[in-house]
Amino acid sequence: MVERDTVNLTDQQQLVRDAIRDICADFDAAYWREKDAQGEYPQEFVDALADGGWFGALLPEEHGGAGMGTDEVVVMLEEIAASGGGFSAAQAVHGAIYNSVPLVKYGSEELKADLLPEVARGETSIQAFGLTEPNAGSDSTSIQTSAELDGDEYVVNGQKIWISRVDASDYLVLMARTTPREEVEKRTRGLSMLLVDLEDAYEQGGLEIEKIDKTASNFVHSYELFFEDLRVPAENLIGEEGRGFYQMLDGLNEERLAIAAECVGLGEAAIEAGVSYANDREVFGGPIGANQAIQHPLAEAHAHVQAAKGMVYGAASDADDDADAKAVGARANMAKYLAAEAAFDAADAAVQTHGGFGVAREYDVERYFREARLTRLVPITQQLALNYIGENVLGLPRSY
Amino acid sequence: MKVLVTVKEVAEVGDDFAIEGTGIAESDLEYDLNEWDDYAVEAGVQLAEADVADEVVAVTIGPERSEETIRMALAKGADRAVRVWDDALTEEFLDVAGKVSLLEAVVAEEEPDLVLSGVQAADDSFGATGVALADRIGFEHAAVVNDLEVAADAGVANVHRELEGGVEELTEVDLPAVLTVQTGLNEPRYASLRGIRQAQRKEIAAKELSDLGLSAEEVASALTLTEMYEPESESDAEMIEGDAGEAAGRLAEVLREKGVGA
Ligand SMILES: Cc1cc2nc3c(=O)[nH]c(=O)nc-3n(C[C@H](O)[C@H](O)[C@H](O)COP(=O)(O)OP(=O)(O)OC[C@H]3O[C@@H](n4cnc5c(N)ncnc54)[C@H](O)[C@@H]3O)c2cc1C
Repeated sequence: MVERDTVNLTDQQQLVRDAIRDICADFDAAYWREKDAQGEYPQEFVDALADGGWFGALLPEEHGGAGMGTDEVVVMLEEIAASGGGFSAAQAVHGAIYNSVPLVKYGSEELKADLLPEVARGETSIQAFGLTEPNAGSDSTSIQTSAELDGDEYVVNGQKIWISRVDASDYLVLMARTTPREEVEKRTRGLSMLLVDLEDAYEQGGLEIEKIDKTASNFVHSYELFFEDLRVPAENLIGEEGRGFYQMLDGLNEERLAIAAECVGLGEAAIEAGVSYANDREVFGGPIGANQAIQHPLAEAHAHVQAAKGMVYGAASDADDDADAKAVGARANMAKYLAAEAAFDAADAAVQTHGGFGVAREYDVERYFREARLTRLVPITQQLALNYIGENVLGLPRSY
Repeated sequence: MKVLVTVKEVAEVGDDFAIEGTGIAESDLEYDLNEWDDYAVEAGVQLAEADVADEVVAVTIGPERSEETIRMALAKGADRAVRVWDDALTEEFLDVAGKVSLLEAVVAEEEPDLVLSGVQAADDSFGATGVALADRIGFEHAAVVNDLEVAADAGVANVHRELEGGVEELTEVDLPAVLTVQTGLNEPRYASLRGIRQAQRKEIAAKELSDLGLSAEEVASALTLTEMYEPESESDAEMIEGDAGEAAGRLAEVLREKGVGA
């Protein structure tokens, strides 16, 4: 086994790690392989976490949550990914942990009192977050989905794409324009955050969804959403009208660190698989791992994965008390960028190490590879992460 | 009713490890809560949840590192913990009698009505600590318990014990008692997130020999570890294949070759 306990953890982080390892031990590689092959949401795994109250990780204790922070969540998600579940297993539950964060910070007392305890107990899920649109991917302030106030309801019209876990969620946190882009001073204004009760939306006939056929992260489904005169009670507005974009940004850096941790876990799983095969497989009378052509790519990727891990954990332990959001943002974007590249290199090396078996489902590395490719696209593409670093960290002119 | 659960942090090794002197290289060891003790903790916590037990105290003998393990018992629901260690214990091998002396002192302090311990520890597998403790402190005991019901008012524990050859014994044990718990007694829970959070606020009292009124001589081991080696496999296993008739034929042949029934 390649040593994975490479950073110092607090007592609480250790407990999180050990507890998650316990849970993950009951969901082996065959489980994830099968879920991926069948494209079936890992409900049993998600339920195990929900039962343990894990989706209340970031919720305050007064609302029934655990009141933990980024430093514990990165451990949790890294462990899930590294257990063999990969990036997708972490993604299967990622939204459940992060989508209630804006609710905690900006939601009305009524919404919080209604929902948060249920979320913490794992009875209600807010797994879906709807931002991306066909005409607004990376350029997220260009979204066109509109929400217009009519009496005490918002009327929502428009289209979303790539929205994950809609099938596994009771609520969707929806980003919509409440003031057209032409009428606001800055493109980041005029956007609002609405909590959409999905069952109610289907019943009204105000929302139709269509599953996207894709080839990575097969067991976490993504959807196209079509809104037609969907009526959402005005009290479901999270925070202030027109301030939705800023509310979304608040907390995004911490979440990005969690995603970086998922990439690290995936990279570790790939390295483990590659190293184990390199030791076992004998060709030309010796283990293939004795060849530097096999050894070096694994060693190099391992070094990159561990470097990214150090950055993720360092930033995570500062994130919650570091008041300087810009500094956290810089580290979060760099960590995510590095972790995704490292995971990709690790998965690629693992596939190459496996020779032809690199594409056989049975060995899992092809699944890791497909997922690693995806980590370079979501939640923002590597280019956009670099844009951020160039502009906000290096002080270069905005390039887009 | 008060329950004392003994838990041990056990060392685990993978396929590859190096022997250094009378031990295994530290870098090849991983530590975990002893599997049997996980069931004992669960049994204790279930008694508390059923309002049979008022308090569940976990006790371990181990260096500071073992707090990670005992904290897991707290996260799973034990109320507080006692960790016994002393610099004097790092030098030498601690045998069953030594451990029993330490636990005896803890029992004297805690005065539990029920002591739950694992049948054995996964690393040194003495399988003796629980029963030896019962003998020393004059408690009733039952070993290898795989079913448990405690009638606190009546002062008895109704237990099933697993005997050789799949035989089960049903026994009534008077409290106070020591029960050694077999895996399968229950289904140990995963630590919940709230449990983990709460564990941070629970006490782990560290005790040294002097705190327990003991001296190094009193826990000195009668046993010495003289050597650690990997047993050599003397023969290879043969997997007999084929249908029952063929397999039986081959088996008879092997037995004859080995001189059985000759
Ligand atoms: C599996 C999956 C799950 C997803 N889940 C969700 C979800 O739950 N909720 C949600 O809201 N969204 C979700 N998304 C959407 C995701 O956030 C977007 O796909 C992502 O932000 C990129 O947007 P796009 O696909 O429109 O690419 P585009 O913006 O069209 O970009 C296309 C290419 O152009 C490059 N590019 C664009 N602009 C620039 C520039 N200025 N400089 C340099 N390069 C540039 C990009 O880097 C990219 O390589 C998901 C996507 C996937 C694939």
